Amino acid sequence: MSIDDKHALEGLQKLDPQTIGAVYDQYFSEVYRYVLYRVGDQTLAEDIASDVFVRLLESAQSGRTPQTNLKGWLIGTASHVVADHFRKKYRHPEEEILDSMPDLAPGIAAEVDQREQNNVVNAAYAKLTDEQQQALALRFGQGYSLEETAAIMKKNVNAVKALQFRALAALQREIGEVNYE
Amino acid sequence: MNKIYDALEICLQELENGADVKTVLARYPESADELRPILEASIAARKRTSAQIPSPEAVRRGRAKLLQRAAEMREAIIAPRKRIIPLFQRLAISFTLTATFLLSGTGLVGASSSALPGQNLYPVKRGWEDARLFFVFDKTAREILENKYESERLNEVSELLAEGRDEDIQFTGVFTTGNNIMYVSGVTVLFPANLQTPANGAAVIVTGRTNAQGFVEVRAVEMLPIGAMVPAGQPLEVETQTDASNYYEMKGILQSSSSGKVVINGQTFYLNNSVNADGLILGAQVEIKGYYDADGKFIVTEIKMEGPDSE
Repeated sequence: MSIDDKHALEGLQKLDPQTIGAVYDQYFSEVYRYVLYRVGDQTLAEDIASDVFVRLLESAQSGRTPQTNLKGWLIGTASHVVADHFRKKYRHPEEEILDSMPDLAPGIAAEVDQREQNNVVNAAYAKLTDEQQQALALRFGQGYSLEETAAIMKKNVNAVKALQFRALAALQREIGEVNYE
Repeated sequence: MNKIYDALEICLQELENGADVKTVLARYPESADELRPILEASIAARKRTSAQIPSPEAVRRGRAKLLQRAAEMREAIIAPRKRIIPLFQRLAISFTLTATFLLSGTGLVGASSSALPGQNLYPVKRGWEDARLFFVFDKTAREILENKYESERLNEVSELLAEGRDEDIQFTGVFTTGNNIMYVSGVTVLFPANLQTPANGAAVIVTGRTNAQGFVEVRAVEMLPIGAMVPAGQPLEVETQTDASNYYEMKGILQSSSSGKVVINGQTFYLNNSVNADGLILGAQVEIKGYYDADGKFIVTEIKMEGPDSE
């Protein structure tokens, strides 16, 4: 079910369950995908994506309706929630438990290689600035066009072109450094 | 610098369309070395998008969480109304109870409405009168209500006298004299020698005690300003003095009748042994004939109801 943003916002303000469900069904996967790209953890991505929709509801109720389109607001909010998550995480870092993890069976060596490669990329990605991470998530995670990315990030297209260039260059550099480490 | 950004964007679009890195770089040989690592990084960046679809369970869980939150928010909106409603209900109940007590003839107040001084419910009666006065803010309405209560005090005195009870009382009325008898709004009063009697027609507050002889022994009297609203009562119509030996004819409303006594317009009269008051209707206009004995009591020698049939 697809609903237009105006109708959706009216329904959200009225806390209409049907509209809320329709908005969730329409945008949850997209928000989840974006968040997953940013945090690299499925469970965390599900939690954050859910939280984004709750914030949408609260925002609509308090009269702070999205100024941009609904999808843009959701992704933008998701970006803020992710940034908040990382800020908290850096302030209160959790203990690394990688050393205590059990050895993997030889039969899944290929999968382990892929996972290690992903870990390298993830580690490199995590070292990018928030803005760079956001640009890559929108462009390569979501597959958004330059124009869509620019709208969500509230930048012009040329700024996004430059940003994605610097982001990819930084990612490549970080991948090299992670591999070297 | 913009050229390299534009070249990157074109290369990215071609990669997305299925071209390989070598092919897209062939279009920009002068920038190939600079673009190659960037494009490889873009491929790595795109590969991060595995497991893009959330699990159905996660979708259901998130949906339920959202709808639950919506339900809580709806409840939060309704809750203040709920808080208001009980408050309103409490007020409504209070007003209803008050109105019931004040306006209806039922309940404690209703039961106390006929109470007389000295009876257990009399304080309740006076208390509710004070309560009603407290909630009347209009000056005129308040004066009317106060006058009504003063009339009630007067009626109480009449009833006490009719019952021959000794009780402390205080009431207001108009002082009058006639045939050497003093009245305050129709109630026979007796002033002690040390008290100066008011002028005829004066509005007064009388403090005293009722007695079994049918008059009020005045202990104190307070003069009210000229024009003060006081109950006038129903002064006896003293029509004729039938002879020189204190025989009178009087008319008034019969208020009570008991064991040899009648109260007419708040004044007690004593029935002669030959007079039978049976069959008289309380509230009816009656005519009496009689005389004052040596103790000042009015002895009724004849009593009859007046009305269309009696004419």
